Amino acid sequence: MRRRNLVGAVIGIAVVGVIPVFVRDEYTLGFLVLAGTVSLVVTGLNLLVGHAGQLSLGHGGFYAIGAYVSTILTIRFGVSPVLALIAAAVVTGLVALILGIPLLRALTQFHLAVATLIFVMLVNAILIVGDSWTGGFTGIQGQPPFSIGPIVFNGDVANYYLVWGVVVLGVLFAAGLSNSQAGRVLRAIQGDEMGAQSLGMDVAWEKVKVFVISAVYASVAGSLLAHYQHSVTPAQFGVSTSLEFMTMVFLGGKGSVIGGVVGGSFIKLLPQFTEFMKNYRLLVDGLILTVVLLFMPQGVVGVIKGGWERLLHALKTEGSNPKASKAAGGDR
Amino acid sequence: MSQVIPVLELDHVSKNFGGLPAVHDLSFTVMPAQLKGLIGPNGAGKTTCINLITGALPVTSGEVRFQGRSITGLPLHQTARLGIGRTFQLLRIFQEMTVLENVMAGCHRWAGLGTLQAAMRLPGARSKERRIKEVAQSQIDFIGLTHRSNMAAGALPVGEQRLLEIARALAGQPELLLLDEPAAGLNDAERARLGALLRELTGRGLSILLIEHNMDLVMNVSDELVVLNYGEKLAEGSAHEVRNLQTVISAYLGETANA
Repeated sequence: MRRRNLVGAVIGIAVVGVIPVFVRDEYTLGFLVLAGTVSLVVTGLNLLVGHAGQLSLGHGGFYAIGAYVSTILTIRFGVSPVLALIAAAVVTGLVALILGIPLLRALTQFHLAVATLIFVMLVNAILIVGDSWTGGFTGIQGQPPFSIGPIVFNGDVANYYLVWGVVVLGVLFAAGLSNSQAGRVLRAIQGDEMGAQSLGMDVAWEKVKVFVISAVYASVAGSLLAHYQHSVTPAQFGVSTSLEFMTMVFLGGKGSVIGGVVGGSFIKLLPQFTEFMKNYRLLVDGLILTVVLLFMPQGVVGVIKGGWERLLHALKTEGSNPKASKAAGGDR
Repeated sequence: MSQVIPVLELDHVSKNFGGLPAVHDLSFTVMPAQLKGLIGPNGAGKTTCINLITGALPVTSGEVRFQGRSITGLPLHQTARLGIGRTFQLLRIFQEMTVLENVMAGCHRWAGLGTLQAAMRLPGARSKERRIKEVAQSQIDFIGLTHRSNMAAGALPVGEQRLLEIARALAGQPELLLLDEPAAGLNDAERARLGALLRELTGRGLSILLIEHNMDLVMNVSDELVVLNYGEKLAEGSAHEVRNLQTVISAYLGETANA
């Protein structure tokens, strides 16, 4: 099991690493960078949704705070991008904490969904009204490229490696959490809250913690996005973006550590493959999403996993006598 | 020498649901390494009693003490942290998780593994995880579910789910274990084995409060019994004493003694 995870991680990192060798055009690379930032948000959101069983329709709001705090700190105050990213993450974490304590203490997951929806609308309103600070509808342009000390991430290839490097770290963090006692606590809460409490788990506080962690993921992604695009506008962080994140969670695979990457990349890159359909593109995209969500309750990852296990099982059955394979199957 | 402090002490505890008394002026104790049976007809307030002790429900009046210290008003997760383990009459296992994962989750009380420490694989996380797994596996072996370790908990028969809940509660290494009808759904052989396991646990120093409808089991394994009827204590004493009280026979045992 552990070994399989390790192999998966190595293959995943290798794929991420070699893509720019084959994909040369800037347009496609740009899409991949955006897919990366979104994948990061959804990986964090999947900890909240897939592990703790809580719904958030407001992660666009945290994505926005990351992007705007980084923007304002670097442009207005000349703070270095790394420090701005960290500061933005701290601010977002505090906002999530202040929001999460009352919400997660008393409310059901459905109340939380509505409350976070209101939160993202509120953030959007503030971005539009806060003219002199946020630039209103037109947002803010002219963010410097991301840099760590003397290393400047300029251009699409550099940003690709930057963003996907952070995605890899994000997935590893999520995997570490998921495969440990911390992950079991969250899944226990999703399974039965009273049962979890009877084992000494502070259910409300555990929910707040994972809410904050998932918000920080979104914030870091927002910061990276702002430095890559050299611009931010409120429209990028609205309700529809937040809803899209949730769709990506379910599409990729709720509760799967790489579900966020699969779901995020799938939705962001799908238009690339359906582009030749021109005017029918939106229709086809919608149709594909509907089919996936309807017929794959475990998401794309679930389908691949199921297929893989069936394949292994079939190979085993073929390779040995039926009795032995039955025992092996029952053991699993 | 001073007196031995009871592990659990109910001191004139009452609970009303909208004016209706579910438990009235109830007092009893559970001593260290004692197995106390709590019996009574359906609706006598037995499960309410466990919910009041663990803080799953607030008491209306009276005091609950654990190891001499008042725990009245503490919520469920805090009483669990202090060392009160429990099972549920209506099972509350984590169905999607495996048997092993369920019991590993039960180690939470002492695991001491922070979220960040676990996620970032900081030093010490691995050895703590290993220890959690060892303790969980040993509890699974003890309860007799070794062959089920990697099965989804929801796929087990109800009787084994009950045993799983006991293993999960034991994994927290509690001082006091509250069992709410653990033998429901078990066959004769499993029930006899459960009785032996409970005696083994008290032999190791664990205190147990056992709610059980199966008279054979509860009469055989309990050191002492408390009989509840309509939320009030009807009698308290050894199985032999309780069995022969006319009030108890007429209230309860009369109809079910031969069941």
